[in-house]
Amino acid sequence: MVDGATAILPDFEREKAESYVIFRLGGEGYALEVMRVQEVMDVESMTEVPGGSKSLLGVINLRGHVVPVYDLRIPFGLASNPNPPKMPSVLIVEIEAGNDARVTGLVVDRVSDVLEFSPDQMQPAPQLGLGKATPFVRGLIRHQDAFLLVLDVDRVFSALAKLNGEGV
Amino acid sequence: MAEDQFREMFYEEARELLIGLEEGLMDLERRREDRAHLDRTFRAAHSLKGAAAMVGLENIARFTHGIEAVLDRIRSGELAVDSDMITTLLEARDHLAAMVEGESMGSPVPASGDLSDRLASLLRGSAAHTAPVAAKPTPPPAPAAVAKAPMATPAPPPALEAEPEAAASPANPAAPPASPAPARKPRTPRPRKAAAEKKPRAKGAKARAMDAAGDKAVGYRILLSPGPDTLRRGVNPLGVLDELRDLGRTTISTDPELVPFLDEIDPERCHLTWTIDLDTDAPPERLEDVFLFVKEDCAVAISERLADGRLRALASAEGLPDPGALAESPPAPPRADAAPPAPPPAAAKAGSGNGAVPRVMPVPMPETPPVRPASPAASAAAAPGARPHARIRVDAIQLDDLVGLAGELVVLSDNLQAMREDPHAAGWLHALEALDRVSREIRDTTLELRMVPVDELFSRFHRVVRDLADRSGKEIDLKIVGQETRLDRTIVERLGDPMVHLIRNAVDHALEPPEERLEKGKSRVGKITLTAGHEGDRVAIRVEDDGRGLDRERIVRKGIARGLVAPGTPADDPRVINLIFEPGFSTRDDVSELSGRGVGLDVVNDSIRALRGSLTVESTPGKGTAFVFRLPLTLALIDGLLIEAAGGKFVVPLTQVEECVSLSGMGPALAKERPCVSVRGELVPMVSLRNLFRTNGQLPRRQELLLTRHAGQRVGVAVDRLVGRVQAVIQSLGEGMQVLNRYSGATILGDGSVSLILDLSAVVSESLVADQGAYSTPSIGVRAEVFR
Repeated sequence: MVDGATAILPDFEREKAESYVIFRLGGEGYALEVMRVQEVMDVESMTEVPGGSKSLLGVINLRGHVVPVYDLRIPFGLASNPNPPKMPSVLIVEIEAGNDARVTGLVVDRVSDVLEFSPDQMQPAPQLGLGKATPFVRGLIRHQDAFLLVLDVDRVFSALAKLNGEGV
Repeated sequence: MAEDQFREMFYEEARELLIGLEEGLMDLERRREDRAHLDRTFRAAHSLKGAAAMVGLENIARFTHGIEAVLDRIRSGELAVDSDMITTLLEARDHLAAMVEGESMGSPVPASGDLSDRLASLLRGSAAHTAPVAAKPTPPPAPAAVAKAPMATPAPPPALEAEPEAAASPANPAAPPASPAPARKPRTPRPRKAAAEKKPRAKGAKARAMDAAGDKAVGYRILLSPGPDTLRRGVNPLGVLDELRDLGRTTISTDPELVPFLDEIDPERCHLTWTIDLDTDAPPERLEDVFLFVKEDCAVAISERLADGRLRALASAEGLPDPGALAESPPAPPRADAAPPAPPPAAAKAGSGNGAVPRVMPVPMPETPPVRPASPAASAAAAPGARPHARIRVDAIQLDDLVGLAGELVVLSDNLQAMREDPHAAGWLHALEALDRVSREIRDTTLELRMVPVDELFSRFHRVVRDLADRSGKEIDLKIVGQETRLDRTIVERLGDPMVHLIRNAVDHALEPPEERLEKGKSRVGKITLTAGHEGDRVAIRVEDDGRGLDRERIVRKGIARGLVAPGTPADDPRVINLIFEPGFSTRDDVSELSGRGVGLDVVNDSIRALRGSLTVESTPGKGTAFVFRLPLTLALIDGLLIEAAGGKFVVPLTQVEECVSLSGMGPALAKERPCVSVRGELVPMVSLRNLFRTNGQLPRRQELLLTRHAGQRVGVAVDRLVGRVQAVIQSLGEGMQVLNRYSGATILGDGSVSLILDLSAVVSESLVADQGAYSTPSIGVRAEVFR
């Protein structure tokens, strides 16, 4: 699949191409620049934070650092997973916060791939029609007869921060 | 890249120098006669100027020159220190600090023309009231007093007029710690602008005493005497000679007599002293640049060779006694490491006799007059003194990592200790104990690195108090006790604002004006005392004044008016005083210039709480008020109690727990409309974590009650189970979770799981607020606990 996406690109295009982590969430396929993803991990244990916002699933120990983990379903307006996986896949994502980058975990349904796309393969996202996820989508990429929604992860974080600020 | 690094180093150095400068200026006012102090202050300005010029920050160097010039005049006795002058200098220092910070932030701040003018006018003023001083014997016929008059006749260079311009000239990185005696290169009179532009080193103040004849410099004579350790430090003096060769025609000679016999020779030591005659057009600044990197341990004396063959001392680098200082006190005994001043031709040989390498070769000007009798002690003290203690710079992030690692090691050790229970483990008990000891030592050492004396913070307040006193028209004496007490760097940094706030309050609200104090039989001068000291495992910092004391009547009236306490609460209720920590509570009805800008003591309280500290207040009417901060020694690590509540494990800082009691058998009783329990006869309000966390499920048969103190009152926090003691390395929760006040952070336990750290006092406040919704009419009993 990876080859299928990249082989057709001419060389100069490939240089500009960017890698995306492809994941699924609530039946949709999403893409997120690989540069923003530090790693993908299966989380065995998470510490709940009583009193935290609903989207805050808990905190985990990422090699000695305490990292919060959020459920993307809440800001995306999706119903919470009826049978949550025992070991959810967590995208460890870097947030640019002033001078120091912080990391945060985002729970997704399944991480499937890493693919390369050139910039001209991305189409602008429609202003309507993507439901609550609209503000978080930067564009669409056509892939295998379906569209991948390219995530604007900074907007996701500002939405999460807002949810946190409002408390529970 | 390299330049960036130099800049970074400059900013750091500049910040330190600015602190030194400020302290120096403050002390200058108080100890006007202390020459050593004055010299140190001057040197701070001087070094700053040099450092700025070195990294190409000309405008900073120029502006600093203005300050330096004034200090120079004070040194030479031409300017008398007064309060206004110090104010101007301090303002200039502040502007300088802003310029430095501006550069470091990438948004340069221009030099303040107003301040430059004021500095310049100080210099001009020096002419007026120093005429008698200037009249002291200056052998060259030119009457100095005349030369100093701003409207001088054209004959002597218009030195003073040129001075302000000098401030606008490229700085001179290693200008001599200017002394009144050695005259500088004279200039022919010329229009001031031209003088400033073409002759940047218009340090004309010294030039005015020159005689007119034979003063044309044709070159320089430089004596370079490397220190014994120069070669060991990796400095190659030959490089310096090469650089001088680049400047012009040189004649370099050395005295072979200085080289010891072969069997005495130390090959790692430089035994030579060079005499360099240099013919060049380069300005002295350029020359001094050459010696920039060697001046630390080499003695360098630069003099100008005049047309008539005489030498005129020009500069002395660090490490040399100020030639001026020597000249000032002719009978001054040579400093231990200084060869006696010898006339230049003999200088090269001085000291060769006794085998000691002459470190210092001042070239005094033959006709240097004794200007001012300075006591030998004073000149010794004025010797270029190093800062009393060296400080190391540690990268903050690395340091935090180290602290984190050390903490992890302790955690690991704890974990291993738990294996002791296994009877077969006896074999590694030794290793285990060693690990325990080592890990704790590492922790203590690394924590030590974070500790700084509170003096770094306290010494700032001299300035603050001075400014406040100026503005309020009150007379204030600041006393500091226990400044050597050490605290975590982060705490010290964050204590600044709260303390400034309290000091401001003390000046504005508490201290009476002088007349009022006299009427009350107090001394005219109000006193503010800052005290730091240890109290168990905490550090207590007191901010104390001897002013009016808190007006309890008024506080309770306000409290009643705002519904914070029940009507009829007596003014001597011990809790009344805590009302001043309520948000928006101010007993002052008018907003004054100094305080009352909408920031109340509640903010101070919050910031202290964020440092896991507490704030209490003691006040006696008419006698004064003391605010006491109690702070943990460090923020990085806490001793904690691991508890279980609502199905999760939490860490509670041990310092917040006074006592643990079992709750079985003393079921919660509703008293004053909220659950309370009786602990040894005392009725204690109870907060349940289960309620707060909204957990349902079976209540354990036995609950544990953590007794904590909240706003001077005992409160019990009920938890499900006590697990044990842990040492917790505190990590901050992500930004998004800071809204959750109840957690002061998180920590990683020995088994790798994450545990949240509960802030009991926040939990109690939160629970009380939640309860208030539940009870329609809060009684005094409930309200009282909201006191913070």
